[in-house]
Amino acid sequence: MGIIELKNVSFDYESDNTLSRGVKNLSLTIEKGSFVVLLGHNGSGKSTLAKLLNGFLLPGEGDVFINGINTKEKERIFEIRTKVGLVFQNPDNQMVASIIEDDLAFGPENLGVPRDEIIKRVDWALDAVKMSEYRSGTPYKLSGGQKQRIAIAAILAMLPEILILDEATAMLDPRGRAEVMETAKRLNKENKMTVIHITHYMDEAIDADEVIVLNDGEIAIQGSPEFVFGHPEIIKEAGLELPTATKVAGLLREKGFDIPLVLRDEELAEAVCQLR
Amino acid sequence: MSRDITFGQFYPANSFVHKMDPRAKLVLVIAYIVAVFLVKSLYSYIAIAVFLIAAVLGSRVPVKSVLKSVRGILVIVILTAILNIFFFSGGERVLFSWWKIKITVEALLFALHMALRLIFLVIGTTLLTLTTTPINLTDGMESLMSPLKLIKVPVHDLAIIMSIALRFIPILIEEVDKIMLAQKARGADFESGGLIKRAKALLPVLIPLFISAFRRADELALALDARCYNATPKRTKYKVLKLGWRDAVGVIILAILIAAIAAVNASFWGLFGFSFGV
Amino acid sequence: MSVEIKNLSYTYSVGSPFQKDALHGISVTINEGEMVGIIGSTGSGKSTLVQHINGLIKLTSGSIKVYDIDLTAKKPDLKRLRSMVGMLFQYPEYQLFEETVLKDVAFGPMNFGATKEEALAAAEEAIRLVGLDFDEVKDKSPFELSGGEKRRAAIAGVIASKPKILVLDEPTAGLDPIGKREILNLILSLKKAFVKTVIMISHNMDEIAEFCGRVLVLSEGRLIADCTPAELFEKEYSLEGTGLTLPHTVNIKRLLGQKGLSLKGDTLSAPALADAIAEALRRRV
Repeated sequence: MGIIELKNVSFDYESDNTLSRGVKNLSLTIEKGSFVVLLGHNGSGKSTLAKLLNGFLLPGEGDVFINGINTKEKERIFEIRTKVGLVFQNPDNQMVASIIEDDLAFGPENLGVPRDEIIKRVDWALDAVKMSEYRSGTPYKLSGGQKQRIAIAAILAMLPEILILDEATAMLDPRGRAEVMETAKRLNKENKMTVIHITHYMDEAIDADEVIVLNDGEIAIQGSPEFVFGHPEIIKEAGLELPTATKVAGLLREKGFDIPLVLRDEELAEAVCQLR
Repeated sequence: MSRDITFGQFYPANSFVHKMDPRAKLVLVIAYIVAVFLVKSLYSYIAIAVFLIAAVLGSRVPVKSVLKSVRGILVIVILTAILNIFFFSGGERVLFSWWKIKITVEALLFALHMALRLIFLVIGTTLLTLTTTPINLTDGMESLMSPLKLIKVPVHDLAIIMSIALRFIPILIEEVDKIMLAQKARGADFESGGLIKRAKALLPVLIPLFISAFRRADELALALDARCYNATPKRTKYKVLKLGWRDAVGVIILAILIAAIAAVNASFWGLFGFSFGV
Repeated sequence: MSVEIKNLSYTYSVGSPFQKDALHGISVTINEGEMVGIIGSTGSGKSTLVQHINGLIKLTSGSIKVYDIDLTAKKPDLKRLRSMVGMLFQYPEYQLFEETVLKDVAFGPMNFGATKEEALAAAEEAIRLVGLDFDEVKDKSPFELSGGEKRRAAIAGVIASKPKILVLDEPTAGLDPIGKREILNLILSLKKAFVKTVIMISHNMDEIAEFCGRVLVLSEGRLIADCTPAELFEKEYSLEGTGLTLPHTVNIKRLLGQKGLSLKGDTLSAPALADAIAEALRRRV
């Protein structure tokens, strides 16, 4: 059993005014320690899925299990939210305090963690996102990428096992996105954190252990990055674009050249030179 | 516009007063206000002035910044003084008489009394905001209010509300700037026209601002839930406030001030006397 | 010539402890018909620069002429200027405020002196132009629209007075791939209509490469490059410090060059790159 299990989960929004739809009969297993990227266009159901994973939303049908605990168990909801950390899209709207270390302490304070322990966690979390020098500062002057790293640290202070980034890079500039991706990957590799990264940027899926593409509330395709990007028709139908290298390789194949499936620029360059 | 605002007028410095516990400062300010209202003799204002000079020196805030606060209320002070001079009744030593208007010595003294009271009140409370960051103030207030928990006042929730408000003020100010620019680019005019026209002109700024504030609140609520707000009533506290020797010194000095004022009151006219003659 | 900027400098909060130099001696002339991209890291002065063009920031040093309006004059006609220069800010959906979409889009024309009938007619045209279903949205509250629709409504509000110059600050910010394409196509269609000149701030190098014929690079308030995207990518150094990365197509071309395969011609878009690679491989064989 994976650390996250979804069994035939469905969720519908009551007012179907907006494009944001729910999920339909979704079944999914996420293995502990994996780096999963969830791709989908806006309205594909990815945000709904994120909220189902930490109990903000309860499935209309089916069950969501986090480490064996069903999210419907009301008495254990805080246990679940401690295990599953959720970082949102807007860097500003996640911070409650004007001083960074106070903001990081907020989660543990809510859980009644003893003060010495809170101090240790704040230190560790800041170090984990490489923002220790900013501990006594204010978030106001930070860049978007730095703010999101603080948001991640604030979640880390609750010692989660799973980190869900709900389009956490959507509002950032390229540098900010790189910072957040680098932090997430490091946490996954070094701290063995299970990471679920929800995004619509293809580049961010290339190094994933597993890619899941959502479309219209259902899983359109899932598997390794190579497998998923090897199905351009499904990608296109899901409203997404292929990585540039993959696109160019596909075009060259159409012209009759023997280029294998590639994801990265370097791989394409390598493959082209092989043909000479 | 927003770049110039130092919220709460906080003046950063490494001073005695800056290092005092915010709770002590809050209590002392309240006691100070009471002291100022206790004053019955103009002589007492000398004692208060001495106290304030000591406080300003101890805060290392430039006198200019302190006096800026007085500049703000100067108009009110002068207006109050003038009104008091003309409408004071019960004076005996008439200085000047013209038609129905009578100006007495007592009236002048009373006006001076009121003016000084206003000025000293403002200076004293301004020193508080000059030497204490807003966060520090809310921490202090939360701590002072905590006994109210016993009568079910949601002290912690109030403290979080204050903290979030402080956190978002600069963000919202910046947002107002942005919205104003966007509407100006569409031809909105915030400068010309009478009061009503200008008030109406602000709608294209206020409405998006409100909507935005509510949207932020929505998202923030999710973040609070994600961080297990209200998971347990047994919250712990990361930042601890500790009283120190400076706070004791502050209490002693203020106690001396109050004693001095009381003594002056008693010696001149008996404890329950009523006069402000010189 | 539609916008002529000479020696533009700007300092924030002069005389206060927050004084900050934002622009240093920028000179650039943008001609009618151009699609210009502006890139640079945060704080490089991009917003400060474009906000001078429609007079949101008062000119203090240097000169600016937009068509026949001289901003060095004592009282330039800002109303007319702003009706000629439409400006779309980042996340423009956050400036919607009126009771109905129609009224919100008519806000601009009304301010610029149109009669109520003229303004409503202009609003209707703009709403259709941005691809919204007029009859469906005209009486709706702007807050009832979806995210993508809101952005279109905001764009309609900016183009309702048919500006000749359109300035856009990160028009595709926060959108998914489909959304980005749609907005960029919308901008192109506007350019074919009445918008003659487009100035676009972006940090998306792929967009700049594909859509802009000219790119201005700002760094710490200075104009450090003014050339075509292709030329810019030859001089790779100019991107250092801007926090921006080369578009993938350019990166691939560079990698191939390092391995000894040089490509000819336009290679900025994926199809063009594929063609160039195919051509180069056939040359070899």
